[in-house]
Amino acid sequence: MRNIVLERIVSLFLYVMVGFALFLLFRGHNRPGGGFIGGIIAAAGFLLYGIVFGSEKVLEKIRVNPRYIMGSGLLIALLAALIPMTLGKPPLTGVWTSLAGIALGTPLLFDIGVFVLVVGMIVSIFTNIMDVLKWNS
Amino acid sequence: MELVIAIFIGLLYASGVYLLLRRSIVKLILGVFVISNATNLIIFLSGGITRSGVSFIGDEAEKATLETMTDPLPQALILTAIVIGLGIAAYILALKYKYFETTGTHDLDQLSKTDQK
Amino acid sequence: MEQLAIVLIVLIFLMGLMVPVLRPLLKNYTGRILALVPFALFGALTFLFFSLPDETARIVETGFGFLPEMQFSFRIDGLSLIFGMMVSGIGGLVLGYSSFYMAKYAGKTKFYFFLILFMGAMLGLVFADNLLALFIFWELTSITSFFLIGFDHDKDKPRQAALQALLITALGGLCLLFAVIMIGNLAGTFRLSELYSQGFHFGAHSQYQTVFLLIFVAVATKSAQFPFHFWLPGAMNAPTPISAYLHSATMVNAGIFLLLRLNPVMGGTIAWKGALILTGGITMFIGAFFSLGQKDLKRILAFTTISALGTMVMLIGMNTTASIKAALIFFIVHGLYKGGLFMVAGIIDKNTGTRDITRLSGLLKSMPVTSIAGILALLSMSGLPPMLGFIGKELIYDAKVQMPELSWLVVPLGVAANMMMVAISILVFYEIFIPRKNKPAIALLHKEKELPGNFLAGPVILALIGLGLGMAPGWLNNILSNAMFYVQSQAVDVHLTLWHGFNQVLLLSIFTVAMGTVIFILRRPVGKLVGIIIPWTDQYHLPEKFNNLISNYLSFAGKHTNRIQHGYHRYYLITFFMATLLLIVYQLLSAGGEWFHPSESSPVRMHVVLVLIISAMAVLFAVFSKSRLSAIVSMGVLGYGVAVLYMFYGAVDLAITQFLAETIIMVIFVMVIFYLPDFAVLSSKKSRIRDAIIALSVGAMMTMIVLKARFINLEEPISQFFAEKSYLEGHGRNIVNVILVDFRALDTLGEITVLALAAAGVFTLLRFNPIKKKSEK
Repeated sequence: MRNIVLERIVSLFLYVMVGFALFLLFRGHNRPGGGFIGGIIAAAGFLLYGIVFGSEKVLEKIRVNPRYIMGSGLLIALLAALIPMTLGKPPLTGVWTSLAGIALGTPLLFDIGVFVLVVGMIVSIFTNIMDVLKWNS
Repeated sequence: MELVIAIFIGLLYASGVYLLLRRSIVKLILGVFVISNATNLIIFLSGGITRSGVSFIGDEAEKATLETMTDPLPQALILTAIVIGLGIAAYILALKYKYFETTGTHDLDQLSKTDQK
Repeated sequence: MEQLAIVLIVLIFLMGLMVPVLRPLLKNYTGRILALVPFALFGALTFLFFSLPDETARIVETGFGFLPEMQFSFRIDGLSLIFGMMVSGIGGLVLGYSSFYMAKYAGKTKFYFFLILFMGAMLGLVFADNLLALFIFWELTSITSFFLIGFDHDKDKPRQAALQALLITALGGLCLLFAVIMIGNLAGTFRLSELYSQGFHFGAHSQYQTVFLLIFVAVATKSAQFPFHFWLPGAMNAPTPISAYLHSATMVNAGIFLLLRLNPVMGGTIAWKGALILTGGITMFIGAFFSLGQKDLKRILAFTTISALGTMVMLIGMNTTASIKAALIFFIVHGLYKGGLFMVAGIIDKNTGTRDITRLSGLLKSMPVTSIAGILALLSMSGLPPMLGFIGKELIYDAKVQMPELSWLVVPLGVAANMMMVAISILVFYEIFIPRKNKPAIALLHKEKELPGNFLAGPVILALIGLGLGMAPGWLNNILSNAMFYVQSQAVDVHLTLWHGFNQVLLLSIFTVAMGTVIFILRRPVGKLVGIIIPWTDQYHLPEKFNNLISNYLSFAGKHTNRIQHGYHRYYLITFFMATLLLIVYQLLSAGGEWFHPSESSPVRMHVVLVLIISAMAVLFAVFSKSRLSAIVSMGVLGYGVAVLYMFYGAVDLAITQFLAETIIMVIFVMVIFYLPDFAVLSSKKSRIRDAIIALSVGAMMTMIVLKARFINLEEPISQFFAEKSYLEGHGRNIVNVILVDFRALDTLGEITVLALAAAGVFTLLRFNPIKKKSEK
């Protein structure tokens, strides 16, 4: 049985949650938030969407195979680890530049990697479970 | 307060161990969850709960002292532990599903018999 | 030049490791092309051989090592040169030889890989200046030879032979390790060069007997001395190039080499002399004796190898100048003729399909080149002029006759063993090479001309070298003097000649040959005698006894493992919990001190206590609930309760994460649990009570630990550092986040890798179904 109201709310809610997750990710260095929390919130948005619409719709929505998202998250984090090495510092040393008064640095990149990986992981897990255990009907 | 939390942790461990010793694999998994929560609490408690106040540096200040906030290190450790717990939970559940699918039982005692054919 | 030699040794190792990559490129030329490196090494060593002055050793430091005491430094002196040249020269020939021999075998990559690594290990062993490095190379030769002997791993016999060889040589390796460590502790150094220059000799030390016993076991196992000799004939199951290499100049001679190396440090004592002469003598005799009863050419060679090894051990045990000289020469002699003979046996095997000497005949006519190489080697083996073997045997007799107290024992033993060697040489010669009327010549698979040159080159070259050195033994004087200096720690002038003049030793030689011929003529009765004795010794058939010992051990271990590894998950856990409980509670109670201090703890807040009580009730409900869903929901209550606790004590990030993670776990849990059956009470009441007691004890223990931990501070907390640097250097005000992504980012990197693996694991578990796939096929 389709519930139009619920579907409208949930698809709207997905954007709200992903937006909020990104907000938490970027302010996480100074206020509560960060890659882990942001990632879980975004993934929770997708989970909600998946419960209502089915896991196939989630995969359609994000277009990319969640395993690739997971892998690219790991790569981004690794990149953040390797950038300092090109500058002759030990890996994972924070390297900072300032752009319009906002401090940007490899820790932020690392946090983005964590965020992407957590989203990819949870989405991958629940879409697989829903698919194999036939929760999509 | 520490005493209360310590007793609470002990209770969680007792329940967790009791669940671990069940033959049903579902209960075993519940036991793992309980014990991981209890362990997180131990780490949290080890940072000390006498100090209160969030572990942020104020807007004007350049540094903070431990006197005015909760110890941040255990928090960082627990935070990753929680997320890893999530990943491991998913893994155990998938493993359990596979186990049940392959053996058709959820009795752990059957496991010792299936692997020696 | 010495640096070049060491670089080439390293290159051999690298080459071995590169074989899997090189072989597809080089195809059928692998053996021939890879042989160039050992030949280059041989060339470099030859140069050193002629340029190395008497009484000098060159030490090459590589500056590479595992420990300060364990540097890979190499020494080049007469002894290591003699062994190194044999290892590299015969190694090169064997590689060229294998090119054709192994052409039809599967697994050539594996063959070259292990053969070349073995060569590298053997070279490392003889050139090592550090005893620990020597031990490492020693073990490497054991391991690589295990793979070489068991090359035909799909057959039962080679596998068993390989395992036997490995177990026995590994026992020796272990002994060697202990001995090396003890020597190092006694002398204060593991360096041979320092041991030599200090003139260190611990023959009088109280631990000498132990060290000697360990070294003796190491040597006896590696060099197949009685009673460990039985693994060597079994090792003949390997393809012939491997036998030719392992049993002529390398593997089995490692023990001989070790004895010579340690002679200045611990040689010449009564224990040394007695044990080595006795064992060597017995080995020499039984090796020669058993070779008479064999029909397989390779087994004949294997037993004569045992005999030769016994001879060398005995000579080293005698520890006179003459005997050491004889041992060194005999090592060269034996390497040359035995390598050649094995290769001849391989050629014959390849070309006729059999190694049975009763079936082979008339090869001199059909395979003249191979036969002449074989006959020259046989001449050397029986110690006839003009081969180097003659000089070797003369020197051995000379040493035995000169042996003051023991010549009455060693001379007859030696003469008897040599008589049998002569007899077996004539027998082999007569049976397989000479054309005979009453025995039809065996059919060949190829004409000899059709065999590639590099296949025949090995035995021909070795035979010619044996012949050449026999004619002009003076070439060896220089290097022998140098080697003798380091074995005997005194300067010795060596002058080798083919003709010693007419003396007692020559008489003995003539007698030996004459008696050998007599034995040959009487081969039928002698064969019968051996035929009687072999079944008698078979009751004490050592390989079988050894196998029984191993299988009994395994079944014993299996029985006891089954008792401990019973497969019941909860009994493992009970064992674990009980042991932990006992140890920790004992520790906690014996530590004494305070448990709880009201004034130091934070005030009790009733609303938090309320949250805890609700969570505790939820958990208890989950424990006793019979419904899956309510159990899961109560787990959720516990998770939220803990989150509230975090929140209350200022850990905002934690609280958020806990809430969210708990929610997602609940959802996934419900998704999966729906497909599983209901809870059932599976355990009996009795076991539930037992479990409850254990669980409560563990809970009490944890409470005690938590309380006690507050009074124990081993290290100063490092959080203050984070609090100070977080904003100034990490540019973040959220200290927890800065710790995660900056201060301890390596941990986080590891953790997110775990997460990725967990997700990958879920994917594989759910999607991959090996059973289904099989049935679909």
